[in-house]
Amino acid sequence: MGNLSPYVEIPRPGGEPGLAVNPLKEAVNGFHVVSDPLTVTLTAAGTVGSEDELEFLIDSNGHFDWTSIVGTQTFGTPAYFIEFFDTGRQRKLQNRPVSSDNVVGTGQRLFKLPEPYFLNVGDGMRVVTAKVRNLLFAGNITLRMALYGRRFYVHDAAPAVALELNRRWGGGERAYSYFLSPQEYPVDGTPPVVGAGGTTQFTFKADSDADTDIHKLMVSSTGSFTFTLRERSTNRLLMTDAVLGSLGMGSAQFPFYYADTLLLERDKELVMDIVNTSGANNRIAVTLAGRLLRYER
Amino acid sequence: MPLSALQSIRTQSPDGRIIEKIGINPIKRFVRGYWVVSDPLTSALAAQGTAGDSANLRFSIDTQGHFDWAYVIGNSTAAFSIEFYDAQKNRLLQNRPVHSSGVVGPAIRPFRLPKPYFFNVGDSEREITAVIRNLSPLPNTVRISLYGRRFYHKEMPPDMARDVERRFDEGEREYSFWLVPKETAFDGTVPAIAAGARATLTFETDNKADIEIDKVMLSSDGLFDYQLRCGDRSLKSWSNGDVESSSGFGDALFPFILGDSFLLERKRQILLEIRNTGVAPISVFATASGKQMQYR
Repeated sequence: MGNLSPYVEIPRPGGEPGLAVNPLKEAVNGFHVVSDPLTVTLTAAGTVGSEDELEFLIDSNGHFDWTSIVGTQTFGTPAYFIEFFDTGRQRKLQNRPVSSDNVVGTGQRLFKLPEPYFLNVGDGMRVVTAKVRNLLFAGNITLRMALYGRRFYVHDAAPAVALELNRRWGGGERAYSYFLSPQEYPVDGTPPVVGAGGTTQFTFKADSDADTDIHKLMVSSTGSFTFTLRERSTNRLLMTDAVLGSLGMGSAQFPFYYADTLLLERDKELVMDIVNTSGANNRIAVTLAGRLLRYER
Repeated sequence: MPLSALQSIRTQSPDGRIIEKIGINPIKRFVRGYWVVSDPLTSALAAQGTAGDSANLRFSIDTQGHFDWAYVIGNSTAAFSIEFYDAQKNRLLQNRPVHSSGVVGPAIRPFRLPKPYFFNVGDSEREITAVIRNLSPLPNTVRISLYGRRFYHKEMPPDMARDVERRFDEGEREYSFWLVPKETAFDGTVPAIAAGARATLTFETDNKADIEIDKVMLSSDGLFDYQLRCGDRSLKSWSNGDVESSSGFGDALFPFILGDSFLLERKRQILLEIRNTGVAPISVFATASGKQMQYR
């Protein structure tokens, strides 16, 4: 994401080029959208209070170009699971709830969305919700999350500036960030346990109405494992042999980036064969992050 | 940004056809990554507030060639403050001493200057000095070096040497700058914020230049909630509520990069409104880093 230039070239009275402050720059600012409520405590997995909903309200001050996710949780507690939903577009941003280890960064290392998500407020407001669940931990998890990005103060700006901001950024919703989890995960997102020395197969499937351009891989697991990736349609392996999980997948803060983004066309599948090498039960939560690409309608 | 090792070369064949091929970039062999270490190499600072708790470091760039300073690398046994000064340009690179957590990184995560700082040595030497002060009640051993690119222009053919100076030396209209709250004392210390208390720190530009802020860093002895706000009449907040400090600030190794760089025009302010949510007093060393921009 490039910064807007702080200056623009303007002609001086004599015709020579001069510099002036970019009028668009004054209407754009880095911005945290914090949740309502600010902090939630999820009680032990399986109890009534183990899930909650965070609301991220983008008020009518201006558009919001969401670029990153940051957050904290009680020190030492395991991951919780998140499901983002854009109420304005009636759109889920993942096929299953995803592990917080895979999508929530910190101020030092933000989780960057593969494609900024533009929330055009028009003359109203927009809301993104995040359903958060404690699926695995027998204790409480207190968490706090914020969406970070750029705020476009179109309503404060001069009409010409507002028009230019709308022209440049007002559209752009054909591609948006999307998290892909294996089809084998249940709808609540609970990652399965692979027994000691056991194997399993995860299938990542693109939607039938959009292609998915995968940028990065993240994993949260309780032990070591190896994996291979194979495209189902061509049976093409994407490595010569099994790769250790820690050498081919990262985390929210340090994701593993593909050397070249992987285009998973609609209804196509990517198969991940996993061998648990940890010598104990291993719960493996894998998330692929990419862009969902739709044709213009 | 590294210079490309290869470049496309156009030649003409004997029969007049234009042939395009790849050759070695001729400048590349005169450019090397280079560490400028300090004199003295290591500084043993006494405990804060005692004699010997500060030291002056000199970074000399000799006449071998220009130096394009890109990183600050170093280590220490405790926190310290630092103040850089470019003697030839008579220029401070910060408004107050900056906490080391906002300036110095190790080789695995060096602190990258928002804009490389070009030292044109001409036919003489250049020097940058740094005053370091211990911020710890314990003795502190500090070692810092500047890393960047050395352009061995004296070994270059004259045309190439002129080309390098033209391409890199023009960037002096803007240079890296660290901005810390004006509440920071001139010895680099900051007032403590009591448990449960609120405080406002003010980042303010001087009246001679705008600053384009890219990243914000922090060192504090506890978490806190904050909001950043434009100090003009709008008092526009940079969030829709309180943000936890770990979600909006990084450090020299992993700085928090702003969603869009913020242009702080001359004599403008950014207010950092802090609420100490902990049960003990905290000292907050906040640093914003960016490019100071002066009109010609």
